[in-house]
Amino acid sequence: MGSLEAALAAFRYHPEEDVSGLIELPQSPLEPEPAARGEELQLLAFALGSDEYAVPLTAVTEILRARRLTEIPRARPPLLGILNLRGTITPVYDPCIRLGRATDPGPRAGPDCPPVPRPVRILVLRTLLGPAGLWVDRVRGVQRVRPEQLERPAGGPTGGVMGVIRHGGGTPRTVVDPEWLLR
Amino acid sequence: MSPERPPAEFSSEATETAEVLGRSLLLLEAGPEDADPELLNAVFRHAHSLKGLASTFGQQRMAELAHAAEDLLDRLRLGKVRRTRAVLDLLLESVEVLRRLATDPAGPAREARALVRKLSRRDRGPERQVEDPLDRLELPPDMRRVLTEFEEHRLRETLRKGALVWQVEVQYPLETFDQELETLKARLHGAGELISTLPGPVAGSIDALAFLLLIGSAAGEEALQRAFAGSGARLRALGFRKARAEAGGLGVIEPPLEGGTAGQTLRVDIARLDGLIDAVGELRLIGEAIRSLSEARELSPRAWSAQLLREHRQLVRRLDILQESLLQARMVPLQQLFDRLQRLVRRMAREAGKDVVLEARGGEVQLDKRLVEELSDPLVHLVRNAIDHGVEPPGLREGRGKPRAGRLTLTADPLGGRVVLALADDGGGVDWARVREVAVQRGLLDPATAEAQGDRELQAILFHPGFSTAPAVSALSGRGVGLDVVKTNIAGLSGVIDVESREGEGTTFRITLPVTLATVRGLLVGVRGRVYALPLSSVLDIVALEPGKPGTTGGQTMVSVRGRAVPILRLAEVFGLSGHPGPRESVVVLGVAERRLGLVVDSLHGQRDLVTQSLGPRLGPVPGISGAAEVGQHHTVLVLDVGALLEEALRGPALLPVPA
Amino acid sequence: MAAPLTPGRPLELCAFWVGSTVYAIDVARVDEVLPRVVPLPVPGLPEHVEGVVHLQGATVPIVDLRRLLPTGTPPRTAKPKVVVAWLGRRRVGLRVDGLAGVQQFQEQDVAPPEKAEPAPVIGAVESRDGWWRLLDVKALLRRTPA
Repeated sequence: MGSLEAALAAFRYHPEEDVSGLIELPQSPLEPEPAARGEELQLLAFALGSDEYAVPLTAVTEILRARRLTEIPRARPPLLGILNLRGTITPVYDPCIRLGRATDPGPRAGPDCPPVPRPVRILVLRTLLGPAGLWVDRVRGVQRVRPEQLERPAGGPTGGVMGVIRHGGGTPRTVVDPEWLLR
Repeated sequence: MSPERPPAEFSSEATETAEVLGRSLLLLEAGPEDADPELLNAVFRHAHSLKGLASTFGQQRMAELAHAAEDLLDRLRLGKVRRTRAVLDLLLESVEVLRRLATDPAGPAREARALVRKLSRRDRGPERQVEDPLDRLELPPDMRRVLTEFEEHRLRETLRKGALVWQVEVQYPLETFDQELETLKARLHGAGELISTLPGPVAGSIDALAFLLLIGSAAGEEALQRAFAGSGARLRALGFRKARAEAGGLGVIEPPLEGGTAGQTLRVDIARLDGLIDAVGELRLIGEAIRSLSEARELSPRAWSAQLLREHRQLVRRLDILQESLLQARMVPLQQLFDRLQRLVRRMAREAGKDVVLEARGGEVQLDKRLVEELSDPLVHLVRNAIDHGVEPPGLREGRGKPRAGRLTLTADPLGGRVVLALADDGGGVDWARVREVAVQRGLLDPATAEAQGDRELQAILFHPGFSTAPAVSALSGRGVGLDVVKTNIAGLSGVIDVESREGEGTTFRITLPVTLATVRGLLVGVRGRVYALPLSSVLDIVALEPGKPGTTGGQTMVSVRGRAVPILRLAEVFGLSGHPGPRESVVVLGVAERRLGLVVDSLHGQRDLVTQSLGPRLGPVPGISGAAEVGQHHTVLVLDVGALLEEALRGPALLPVPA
Repeated sequence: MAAPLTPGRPLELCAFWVGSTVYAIDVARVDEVLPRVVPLPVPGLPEHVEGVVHLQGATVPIVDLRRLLPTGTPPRTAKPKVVVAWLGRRRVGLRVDGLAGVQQFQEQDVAPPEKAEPAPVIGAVESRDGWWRLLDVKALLRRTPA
């Protein structure tokens, strides 16, 4: 009867029971768990101008070719406009503003907007407030890093920067928390 | 066998069902002698579920009583027992005992037994059954099933006046059927009444649609034939089934309607069918294209793949459109709910000895059929509340200088991804002092802090289970008014309800429902190359802007429209849009209540049915915009918020910046 | 963290219909039972998750158990409900065909599951009204629907 005992024990409710792998609602990717277990971090890397960035891949639901957005009148930066993605209105933002980079994108919506360069993409991210898009100059691809390769800022994540990846020389890549970026 | 204490969820469900049963019985009582068959069915069904529920949970006494009540109700709905005062009293008494049994199975044992005896005895006897004339009309049962209550009423009226009901089979070409139907209505004017338009048998060709029309007319066959001249219609007057006399004087009654209001059939607006047929047509074309692709030998493999991919993309797009149209087909206007409420208000007001009038606005707003059904119970509840406790008796109203008739206003406003339904009464308002008092009595409020409780806390108390300020239980409401039930229902739809009340002036309940789809008819306007949508219900007039005409009065630029001065607002200026105005600007005159605003736009782009969507939780309120809508393929336009624009015209731009 | 099987320890179960079968879970998991809900769809969720509902400020996903368990026809008297159940520190709404009751048993009343049991069931008990299968909800929600 041993296995039935064990099964019954698991059957009963306990607040600390193991619920890994069950339905997950979109959560902030700042949760340290995967990294803490020594698993690889998967990142989606992109470029803004000459700077390199990345967000956790789990936060990315889609990557779209940039297209003309629907303008929101009197919108203030960083809001660039909205997209209708299969029935859901998705706002699209300019990440440079939050990241403190100089930017002068010009309008991305409305009839006056200039033609869009080919490599530009819109990253659709999931956040607690629903989907939101990021207008990026170029997508580099998926990067896998081990947790130890991510240099975390001393004292834990600050200002939304989860860490920096410096391995292999070249430009350091800043890994950012999407929730913070899109707040 | 003494039943043990039943589990909590049984008690609450049983109580709820008993409540609904009680309310339906009261509606039955208040209604006309030849009762609404739908209502009779509903009552029977409730008793039946109660019986089932009681059996499932081993509540024998309750099951027995419910069974006896169910039997009597069955006989009632089949017309074997007449709906007399005595019968209803007995049933209402049974409901009371059932309610008590739901929480206290051992309590009313003796009463339950006595009632069971009385209920079973209450059937024999040569009581003449009251017949519904519609039952004898030769209407095929599946047609009868899909008729709305209003249509049934019109049919009964037709029969009552001694006119005939005609069934007409007619076909119209796909392209023009809606115009043909309009023309028909015009031709029938005077000769008859088009009561119902139903789907007919399969049409002779794929380019036509067949209909079955029900027409009430006393004019005779010739007059009707004239109206249908040239359309190839087949007319037939519907006859009557003979009532067979049986021993005991019972007539034959058609089996009652199955399914009730929530039934599985759906009436689809003809214009929608149009759209669906179009969409399927397009899919056929793509099918053709793929077939000819399979025979294309001259293409290189690469070109062939590319072509296939293109067709696939088209296919996916068309399927999206079809799916969307089907979803929209589930939308029904709130008007049918409003109509039902109108009828209820009349009955309830009479019962309560008060004079009440219901004004409704926004019935054209369409919501998913299921939502509209789910809204019925809570709204009925709120209306009953307002009539019972909100509106004062006519004498008191006069004393307060109010019109004798109380006014209930029911409104529906779609705002992007939300619909706000409001029910306002001009009664005495909520007596917050009394609310405090009762709350303290019931232990819901600590007497020490009761005074300090603000409106929001008191509101929450109003929605607390079992709370009621009515010292006497009103016959109509049954037990204390369960605003908590309303709140639970609304919460089940992921909505919220709140209440606003001014002492002596009235109370307004506001229900906000998030809806992913709501349809509104819109006017598309163009400004500096952008297209926006305006809800057509707010558009009063459209005139050309005459250059040089606008004058300034008191700081506001005005224009004269049909002799009336209307302040104007240039949308381009408000939205800070650069560019030049078009050669011919128009002024769209918008109106809400008494206020007017002329919105200056560059161009007009026609009317559309718009499926409005919320801008999403992230953007929050955007001043001047109430939501977005998709127009054509993947072209999103913003829907303007007329109320906000009116405010801006009055006060200048909104202080709220668009949140980033 | 398995507790030893003590014959005296009661097992109180809350049972519900999914199709024509009655399943039961630990009543301690049941937070509340909702009559009818219309969940808000959220993109990116697995198929059996219909959407979410906001309850007292928390976001609760609604899972249609009828999509995860074998079908069948529930009894006519059953009224569909959503059982809000605790899984760890989160709540999940389980859409079922109707409630079947609450009853207390002893652990020794639990019979082992049938060999060909298609659902993640750890055992069964015989209640007043028939057999209830003890459903391992966690295992069920780890699967993806077929």
